[in-house]
Amino acid sequence: MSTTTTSGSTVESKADRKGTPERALPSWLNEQKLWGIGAVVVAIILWAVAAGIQHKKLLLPGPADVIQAFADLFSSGDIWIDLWTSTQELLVGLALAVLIGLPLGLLIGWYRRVGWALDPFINFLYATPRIALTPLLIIWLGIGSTSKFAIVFLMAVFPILINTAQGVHALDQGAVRVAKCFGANDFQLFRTVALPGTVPFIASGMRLAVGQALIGVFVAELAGAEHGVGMMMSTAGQQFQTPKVFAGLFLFAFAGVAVTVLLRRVEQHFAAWRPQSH
Amino acid sequence: MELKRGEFISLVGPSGCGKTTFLNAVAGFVPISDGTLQLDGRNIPGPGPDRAMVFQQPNLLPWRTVLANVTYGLELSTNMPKSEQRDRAHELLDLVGLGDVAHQYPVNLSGGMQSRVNLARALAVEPELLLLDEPFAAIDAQTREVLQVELLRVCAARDVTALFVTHDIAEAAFLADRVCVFGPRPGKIVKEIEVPWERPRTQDLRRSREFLEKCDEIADVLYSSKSAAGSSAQEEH
Repeated sequence: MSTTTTSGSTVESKADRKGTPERALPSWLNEQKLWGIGAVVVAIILWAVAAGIQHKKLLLPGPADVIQAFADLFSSGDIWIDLWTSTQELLVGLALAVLIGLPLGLLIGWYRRVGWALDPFINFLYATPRIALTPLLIIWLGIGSTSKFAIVFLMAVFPILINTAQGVHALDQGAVRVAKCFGANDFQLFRTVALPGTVPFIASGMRLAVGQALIGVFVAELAGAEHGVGMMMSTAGQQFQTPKVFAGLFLFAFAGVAVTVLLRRVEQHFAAWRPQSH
Repeated sequence: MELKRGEFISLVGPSGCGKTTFLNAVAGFVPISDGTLQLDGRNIPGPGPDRAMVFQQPNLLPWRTVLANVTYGLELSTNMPKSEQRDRAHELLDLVGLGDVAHQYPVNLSGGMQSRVNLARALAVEPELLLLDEPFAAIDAQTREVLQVELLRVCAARDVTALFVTHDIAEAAFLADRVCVFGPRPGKIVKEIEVPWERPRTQDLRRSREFLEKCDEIADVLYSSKSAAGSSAQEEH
């Protein structure tokens, strides 16, 4: 009955076809990853060399300096407060963006008139660099976490909202007709056609939203905060502690990559029905 | 025009003559402007599970497995327990010869296979009337002939009453008990032609002289109907 192929056997068959040399690669490693890892290693070596030939270490710290900065950060307890604050800002802002952006996007896509009515506001806010609202939001909501939630929310909500609405717009009318033919009511049509058909759009909206949210966290903390990784970087920058700035930069990058990988997993899980092109 | 239970009727006509519109009206998608449409003596109010439509495009829901596509109509229109829905879907998939791909997604299926799933999905709700709108038009000629025999076999097995719209005269004659020829004026049936052959029909019938003569007869009516006024048709079940 089931004719599924395990991923392990796919890798094997690919290897067979290309006539792999005598030493087979472990299953998690393929040629594509090998090239990526190789390039990263080369880049780190170049970085170390570039850092080594400088007179002053102030401008470009080497890899070893950054690792040392990481070690210092994590041995003193302060970084945990910063990490926790920034993570909280990111997650709460994103959660708010999903809670508001998703239903609103579905509404806009589903009911044309709602879309027409909200279009001017969405266009206005989407075209505005929303990050420019930061000073205003800090005046309104204070220097604490609340203003950060608001900024992250504002940054993240639009990709989600717009993608979701687009997904509903792009629904396959043939599928809608089939559902109506079987006598589906509006709720059933929504649950069985609109929602599953929109999932890939929602997922890519979420991925875009994460990038925007990280920008939101950083800029909001720059503009004034008590704690946070962005705040830590800003302070370190003012004191010319360049390795520490780099460490903060990497923390942001890792967070972005981690969340994106996670969301891509989720996306693949929900869209197993799509042709596998990548 | 009247349709008896268990009968298979083909509708042919020049493009733009309204055969698809007629089918959509029977399905309940479009309102009728003149005359009446009745199913079991009642007027048709709108779409409903007593009539199932098979479109030219298979229109399978890509995020559902083949099995879940077949149970779709049952989920929407009945309170049947899930296990029972699945049993019936498996039965129908076996009937259309797709028992072994029940857990695949439609994207992995060929056009002919998708078409069979589409048929199984329509049959799952056990409709009073099966409406088919050029279901094999987008399928290659060889597969189409195989699917036609399949359709007849499935209809016989399930005692289906069917209305089949096509522009292919041979297809119309091969499948139907009666072929209704539409004239170029919208909504007018020019002539009904009986197709006498016993079921089950086989591929050999297509090559027989009598069958080709029957096709010629339909073609004559079809191509001469441009001048004919045609009698007004009251569509009833």
